[in-house]
Amino acid sequence: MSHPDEGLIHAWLDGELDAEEAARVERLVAEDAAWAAAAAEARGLIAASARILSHLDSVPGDVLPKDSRSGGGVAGVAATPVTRGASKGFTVQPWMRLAAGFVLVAGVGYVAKGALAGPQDAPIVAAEESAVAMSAPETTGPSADRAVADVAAPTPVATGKVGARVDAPAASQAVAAKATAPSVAQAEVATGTVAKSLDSIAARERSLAEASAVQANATQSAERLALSSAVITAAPAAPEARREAMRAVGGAATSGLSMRSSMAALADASTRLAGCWQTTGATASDSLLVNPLVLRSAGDTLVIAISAKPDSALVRVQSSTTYSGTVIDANGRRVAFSMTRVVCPARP
Amino acid sequence: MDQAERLFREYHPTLVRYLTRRLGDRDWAEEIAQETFVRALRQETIVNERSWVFAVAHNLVRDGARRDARNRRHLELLAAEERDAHVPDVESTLEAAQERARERGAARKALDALSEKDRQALLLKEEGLDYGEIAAILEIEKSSVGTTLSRARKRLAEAYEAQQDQRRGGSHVAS
Repeated sequence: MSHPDEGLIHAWLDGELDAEEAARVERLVAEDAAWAAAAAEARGLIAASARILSHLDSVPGDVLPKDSRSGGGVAGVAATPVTRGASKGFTVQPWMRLAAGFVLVAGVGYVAKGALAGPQDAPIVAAEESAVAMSAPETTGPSADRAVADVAAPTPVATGKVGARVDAPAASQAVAAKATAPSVAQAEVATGTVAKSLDSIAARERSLAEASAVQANATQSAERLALSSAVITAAPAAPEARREAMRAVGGAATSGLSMRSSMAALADASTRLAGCWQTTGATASDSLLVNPLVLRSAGDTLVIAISAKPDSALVRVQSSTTYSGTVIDANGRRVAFSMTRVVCPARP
Repeated sequence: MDQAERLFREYHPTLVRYLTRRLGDRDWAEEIAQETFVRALRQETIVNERSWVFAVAHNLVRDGARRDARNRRHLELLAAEERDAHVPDVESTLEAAQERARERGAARKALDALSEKDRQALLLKEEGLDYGEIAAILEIEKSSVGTTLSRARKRLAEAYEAQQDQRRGGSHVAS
């Protein structure tokens, strides 16, 4: 009896061994009890790993915008394992560079528009994107090559979504200049789903910025602003901003999400909860809750944000001054929770 | 279908799934995926598309790791709740959402219990990358991938089971 090589067994089960080595492992598994047991365990671990990781898939389908699903390719790809060794290279055509420039300009334009609308919170975009946007009219020339020279794979530089603030008038000028280019319409069509998805990012940033501005007016609590974009979108005084932000949070494929929530119900619930509440039972929550944010509302059942973690609670009316229910804490556990109206303490 | 659209269609679903699993935040995953495909548009030549796409995404995440992952996980949980919400039956939806959140939390903790290399190897393998591609992206020897995956799968299962045991114990106390 030999000691089984677990790495070798996993490689065998993953189909990574050549024919000769695979045959050797197969013989060992067939003839040696220890190897057989190890192979059985490995099979179980592979299955368990796949199952555990599947819990992390919040949105397994509807990944792409609806328009791009019409071709049927997306569903097929989503359901079919990726073919090994797919290595067809492709060469970027000049129009593709132009298209990339265009979608970035469009994104910056969206954000710049939001900046003009909301003076307190100028949208923030990556410095790299704004640089590309400014050079967009020259995207087919040498300047465009220089502008993108820093993105060669496989060691890209992350841009993130934080960076230099966009000068809105300048960005608008870039958009205007781009609009006069003869190939823009062609480029927009050619980029197809990529452009749509990038637009959704720009729209999301714009709507989140708008929601942030509204929220700043609606509550004086800085902690509330730190909760998350999902919480921010609960601001009842800004239906349009909230709808946009909710769509963004839910992803491009969940555009119907806003229809599920009643703005009037949220506003009513927020009014009912205005004031100070003494909370008990949730270790992660503050003992005093001021003007709780309502995430969802259905009659007397509310989902509210209760801390800056952020945690949320499902509560029901017990009396006009008491609500009780459960909390989904940071670990996804349920904890009993109640809140009772109290007189707000005087500010020092 | 042009090359750019084909690339997007072929790799976007798996890339977003890989990133969502890795980051715990669908929106963040979408951002990284979009950035990856924008870079693909700019790239002159890509020899191995799948390796290139996952390598770029891998590096983007690595370089953007300074972001507050904890807040993003909460965002993901809240965003998932919002997606699943149905106003007429909010309680039953919440119950289901809570159960999913528990499973997701346990899976996330189990995944976080792995070393970075083990975690990445496992997530890449789950998306269908072969040992050679995984070795190239993680800059390790191909011959060590089997051992890495063996260790990763075992630790993931053990950590997840520990989470479940802990949860069952916690539920008992709570009730």
